[in-house]
Amino acid sequence: MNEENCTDWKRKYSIWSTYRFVYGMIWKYEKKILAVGTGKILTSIGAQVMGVVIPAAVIAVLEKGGGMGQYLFSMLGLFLISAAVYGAQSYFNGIEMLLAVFRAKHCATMLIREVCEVDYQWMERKETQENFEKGMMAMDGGDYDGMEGFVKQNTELAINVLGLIVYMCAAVSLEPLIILLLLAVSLIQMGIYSLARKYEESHKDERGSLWMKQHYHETVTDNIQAGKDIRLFGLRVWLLDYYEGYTKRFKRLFAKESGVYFVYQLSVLLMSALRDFVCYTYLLGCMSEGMRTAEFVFYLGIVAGFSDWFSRISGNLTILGGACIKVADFQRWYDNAQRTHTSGEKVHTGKKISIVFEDVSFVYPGSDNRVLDHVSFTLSPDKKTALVGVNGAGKTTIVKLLCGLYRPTEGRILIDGVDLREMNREQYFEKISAIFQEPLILEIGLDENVACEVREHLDRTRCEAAMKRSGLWEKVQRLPVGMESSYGNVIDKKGIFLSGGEQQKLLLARALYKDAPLVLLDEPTAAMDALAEKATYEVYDRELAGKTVLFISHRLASTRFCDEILFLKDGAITERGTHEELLAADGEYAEMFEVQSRYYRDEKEETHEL
Amino acid sequence: MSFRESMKSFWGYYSMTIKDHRLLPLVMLINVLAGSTAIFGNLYLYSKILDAITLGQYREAFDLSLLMILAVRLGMGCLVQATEQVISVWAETTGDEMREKLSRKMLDMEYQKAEDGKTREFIRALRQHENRYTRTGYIIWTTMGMLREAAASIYALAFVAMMFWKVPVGDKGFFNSWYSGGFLAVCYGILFSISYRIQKKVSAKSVELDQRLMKGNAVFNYTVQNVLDYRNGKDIRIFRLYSIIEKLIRLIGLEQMETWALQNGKYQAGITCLMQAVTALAYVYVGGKAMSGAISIGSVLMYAGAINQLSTSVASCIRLYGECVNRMSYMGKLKEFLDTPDMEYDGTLPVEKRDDARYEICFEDVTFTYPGTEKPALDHVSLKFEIGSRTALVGRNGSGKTTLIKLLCRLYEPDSGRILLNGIDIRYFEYKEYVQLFSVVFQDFHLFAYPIGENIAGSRHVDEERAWDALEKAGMKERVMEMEDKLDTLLYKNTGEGVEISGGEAQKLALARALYKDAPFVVLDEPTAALDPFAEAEVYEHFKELVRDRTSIYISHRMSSCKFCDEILVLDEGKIAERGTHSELLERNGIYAGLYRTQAQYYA
Repeated sequence: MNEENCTDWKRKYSIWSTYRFVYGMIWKYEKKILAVGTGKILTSIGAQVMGVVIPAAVIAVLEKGGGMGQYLFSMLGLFLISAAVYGAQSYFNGIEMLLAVFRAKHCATMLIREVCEVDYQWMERKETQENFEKGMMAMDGGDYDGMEGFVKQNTELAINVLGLIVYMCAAVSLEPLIILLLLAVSLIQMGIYSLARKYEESHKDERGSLWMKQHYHETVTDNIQAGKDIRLFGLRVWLLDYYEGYTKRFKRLFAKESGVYFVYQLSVLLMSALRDFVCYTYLLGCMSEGMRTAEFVFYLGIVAGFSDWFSRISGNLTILGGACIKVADFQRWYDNAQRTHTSGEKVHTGKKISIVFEDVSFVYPGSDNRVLDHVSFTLSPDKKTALVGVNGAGKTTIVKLLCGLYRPTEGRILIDGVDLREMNREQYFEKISAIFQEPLILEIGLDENVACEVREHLDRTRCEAAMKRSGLWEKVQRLPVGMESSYGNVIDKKGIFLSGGEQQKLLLARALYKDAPLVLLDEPTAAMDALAEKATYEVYDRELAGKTVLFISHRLASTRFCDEILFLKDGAITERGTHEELLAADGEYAEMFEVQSRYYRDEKEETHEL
Repeated sequence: MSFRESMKSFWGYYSMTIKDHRLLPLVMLINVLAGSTAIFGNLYLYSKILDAITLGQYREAFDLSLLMILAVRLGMGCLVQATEQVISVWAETTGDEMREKLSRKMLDMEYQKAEDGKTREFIRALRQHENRYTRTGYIIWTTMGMLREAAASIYALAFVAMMFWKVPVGDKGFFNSWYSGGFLAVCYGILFSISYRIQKKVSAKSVELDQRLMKGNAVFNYTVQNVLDYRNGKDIRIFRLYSIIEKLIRLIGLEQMETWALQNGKYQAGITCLMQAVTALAYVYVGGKAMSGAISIGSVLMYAGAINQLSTSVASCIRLYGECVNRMSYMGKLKEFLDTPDMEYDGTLPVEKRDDARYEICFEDVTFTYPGTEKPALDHVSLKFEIGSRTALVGRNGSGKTTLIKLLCRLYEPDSGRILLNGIDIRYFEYKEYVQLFSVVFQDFHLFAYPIGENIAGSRHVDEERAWDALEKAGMKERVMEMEDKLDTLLYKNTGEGVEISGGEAQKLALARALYKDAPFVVLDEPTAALDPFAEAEVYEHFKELVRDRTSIYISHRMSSCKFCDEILVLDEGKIAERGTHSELLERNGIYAGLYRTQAQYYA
């Protein structure tokens, strides 16, 4: 299975397929949106027509001169009809928020789910990330963009097109030249509008990149961590210099774009003045030949509305163009993501696990650099293996391969004899507990963080036991809400924070709760002081007995007590053995150990060297 | 917010913006006047045209229509467009200016205050507002809208008054009697009060929903940020965190939004029906007047239009006023925030520039407690950093090491006691000057997405020789030489296509930055935590060269670093528990000895 061949970032989506995608989703999940849309279309056209008919009707009744009673009667009739039509229109406009709900509930949820379940290695790639960013923009709300904008604009387009048709039918009795003039003027307006939009589009990238830079600057100034360096190194002038530059460029860009739209608006004014002039002259001519005042009022209304429909249609089409592209971006990412869901069928049974790397090599797709070169080793139950090496040697890659997040380019990874490629990925994840260098602690309850399960389904006793074993319980029982305390203070203002050491205990509790046979520890004590470090090793020793453990660390002190140490250099295992064996071999491991332990030797020797 | 307060906020806002854009009020006024003249000019001339038609005076109708098209539509229209152009650029600019002011404030503010939870909450709310609801630019538009509606109301009132004034000769009839006007007013009164009550209910619910949406937005943004960062993907998959993420999404409150949407629809329909009744009433009244001969048929549309305009304009004016007030309260908070003084103590003394770097710093009985905690982080600490000395700060996590450094660098102010520089309390010195004395590498240092050379120099202007020298000492010269753009290489991807660097490389760059600055005090807080043993050894080897005759302070968990230092200070629970050289402290068998031996045992 080679997903590189399946992923296609250049695939084009026809407009028709985009329509099918969006409306297909609506039909599947939220049919009432279609009902609302239809209602809106019908009532909006009705409202527009009423807007022209009512004044004309009033004039007509008055001209006939039928007396107060008849007038009141017709007014009542008119009122009831218009109340119904306008009222219904308002109703449909009022419930438009349903679209936003649809967007968030289904589209955003779809996206998030995919991200969580898609192939990790594929997700990490730069191309995937870039295309993902693009697809995300379809999640923007509002009237003009993304999925929501697409549906709204389509409804508007339907209204405008049908309205135009209705008006054209009404204007049928007018001089055809007038109709032609109206069409000509409207088309010219549309042309100028699209020119203005093209100008805006051509600067879209510049605007996008400026916005990104401005946004970055704002996150930096708000960041307290950066704030220390900013003050201590006097970086204020430097950073503000960049920011002012962005603001100036934005202003210039905006002014230019508005200038172009201004020209468009002026041309619209001129065009409509011309149109009005011709229409008034024509209609006055008709009047002198016997048309009634009411008809004059009616036709004037039609004529005025005509170009309105046109300009609105051109607006719709242009915006739809943009929205279509964004939705297609989303579609593309989603389709590509779906295709990476390949997984084997075999499952792993048994409480213990052993892993064999058989001649594994790894190369990032598109690169020549061998990150791992024919690496072989075995991890067994009841055995602690350490992986050491300088930065960049390939340790993290081995971890990712072990977790099944990456696939080897050559060689195999065997889980109790079965090739990992043939295994069910999800089920394999259940066999692993990992504590990474940048761990994820979510802003939910501590108990939920430990159990990785919603509160309704987790096992409280087991959670408490895990917290006790990891040493977190001391802190937890002192909290007012105990283990249900929320972490972090963005979602819950009363949330708490944990120190670095306490975070490590939480992560260990998570691993203990899961009780998986394979445990991976990536630099777990990097930020701890000596005593905390010692205590942590003792806890690991006690609690992880019987499991298959892989330790990654710089601190050769921690790896010293492992049953086997693998020394990784430039993607290959150059030395392996116990600590004593490696010291005796006097290779690079021994050198590294010497370098670290040098400073702990008898100080009498040291003062000479200084 | 009382009327007086809102006027004050209005004024505050405008004085902030008008300072930079003096012509703005004039342009706004022109726009408003031109706009309303256009509307009513149209109505008036149109009615005159209809009158002329009814009388068969087609030539006059034609002249009038020409006048209407040229003077009103074209003339006023151009004026309106031109002024709107100018205003829209200004509106956009003020928004940017406000954000810039906000950023500036964050940079200038006292660090302790910037770190404070309340401030952070406030900033987060401000930023969310600025990006969504209450953008500074929108206030101009809302105000303009309000003024437009006010002008339209005045015009409309004039027309309506004119209509009431017109009475026919002879039999007056109901519609021309004085009490018919009163009757109309009463009907309107009833209709409006009902619609007002509905409107109020809608607003209240909408505000409530907005609040919940804000929280929902915060949850959504949080979820999106964390879930969509691919680096978190490892934990999400291995620990099956998806069910939790689903729960987070449910917190956004989508069901409530849906219920509200349906309710909202009904309310809006109700209000519209009431408005239709208002319009119908207008037509009935005006039609009656026309039938009695008081006004011409042609002017029926004009007067009916004026009555309707009056009612909608007054309603819109009130609504927009309410919106303005809301936005003003935000502006008030913003202004207050921007007006708070940056630093509590900022002296004016410049720091005496000494080439011999002979600065001595003393802590005199300094105590400091973090706001919101009870135990002092530093408890009556007194010490002196001898000129040219090398001091190591040792202690367990939470013992006060980083706090001491932050006080030293004047990121915090002591609650009691003082810190002296060459005998003078540091509060008397100008902050910017004082800070020049320190080259610091914090444990959580920060590099910026700008060129490497500028990161090291801390400015746009880079002394290349000095930069290369610093890079070499930090052990990063070769790596940067390998890069295509060398010192001009952009870091990270936030502002363009820059390079990604590892944690160790970043640490070396931070070290180079400190070296470039070449300040008399060097403070290094865990500078080798992310480096592998060889790189770490390199740094230690060069440590002597790195600090030369500077006064240096070194914090590290690796006791190994203590060997280089002249004195070791051991902090425990905010107090100085032990001090001395490495051998002295080992003999003492106290905290230091314990920490050292715990680590050393693994290397025996």
